[in-house]
Amino acid sequence: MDNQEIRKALSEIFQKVFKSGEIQITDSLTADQVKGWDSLSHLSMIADVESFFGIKFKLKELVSMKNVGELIQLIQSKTG
Amino acid sequence: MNFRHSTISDIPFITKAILESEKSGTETLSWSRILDLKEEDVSQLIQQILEEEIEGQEWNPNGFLIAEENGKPAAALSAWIENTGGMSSGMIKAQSIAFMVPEKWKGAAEKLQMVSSVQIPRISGALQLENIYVDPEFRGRKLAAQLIEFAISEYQKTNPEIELAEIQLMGNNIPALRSYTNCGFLKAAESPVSNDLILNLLPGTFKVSLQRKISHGQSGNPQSTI
Repeated sequence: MDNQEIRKALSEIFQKVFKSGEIQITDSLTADQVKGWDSLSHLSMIADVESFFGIKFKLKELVSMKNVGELIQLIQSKTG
Repeated sequence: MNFRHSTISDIPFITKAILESEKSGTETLSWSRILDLKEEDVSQLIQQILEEEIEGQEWNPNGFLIAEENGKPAAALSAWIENTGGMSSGMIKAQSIAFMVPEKWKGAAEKLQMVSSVQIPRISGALQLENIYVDPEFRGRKLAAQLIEFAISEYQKTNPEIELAEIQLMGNNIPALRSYTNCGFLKAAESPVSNDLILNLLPGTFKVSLQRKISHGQSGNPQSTI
């Protein structure tokens, strides 16, 4: 799946989960920059990402993600 | 008394330290009530997460410091720098628990939401001190205070930029509060439990954040205070 398709899907998932309206998906985006992105909503977002892309993250991958750019890279690596 | 960093072989003592400090001097183990798990299952969950050695949160064996006497662990605390990698410790810990017991986590959504209303956001970049526990056999020897000084001193060596240390605990734990304020920590924030449902899940009626500025000339030699 290409980078743009992943960004578009993430944008929709983020808006649905974080209820923050339009969210600009940038590589440097982190949880503390998005209202409503806390430990609970983060887990909903991860579950939605796994379900949408049909992938499963490992624990080490989940806890070492530093920003949205790394999430995109990880999705790319798992979706081929 | 010897002060040192923990090793994997300390996991049984660290697990006990986590369980007891989570209870905050009561019989209420929050994770047991929130996830509907027996205490031995929570103990196993903690050990599983410790074995993963996940950085940036409190249940990491590499972040623990130990006081020991004649090879016997006497006290422990966990320390880490908050949010160095773009993710809060709360988020990392939540993911770890959810990963280990996904069905229990999903079933606990409502309780987790309630408990999160009491949480106080930790200060990014501050040295966090948690799970401070002294074995009953060694109490009354100011080991918690010495371990705190040791932790600050050790983290200053590797992270000279840190300016603040933070401890969060239930405000009802008066002996612990007194011990930390005697170490120079001051109350910086307080978050009350808003209803009886939440009260049933937590070992206290309000949470507090204690903070202490870290002076850069600090030597911190716990052995010298014995």
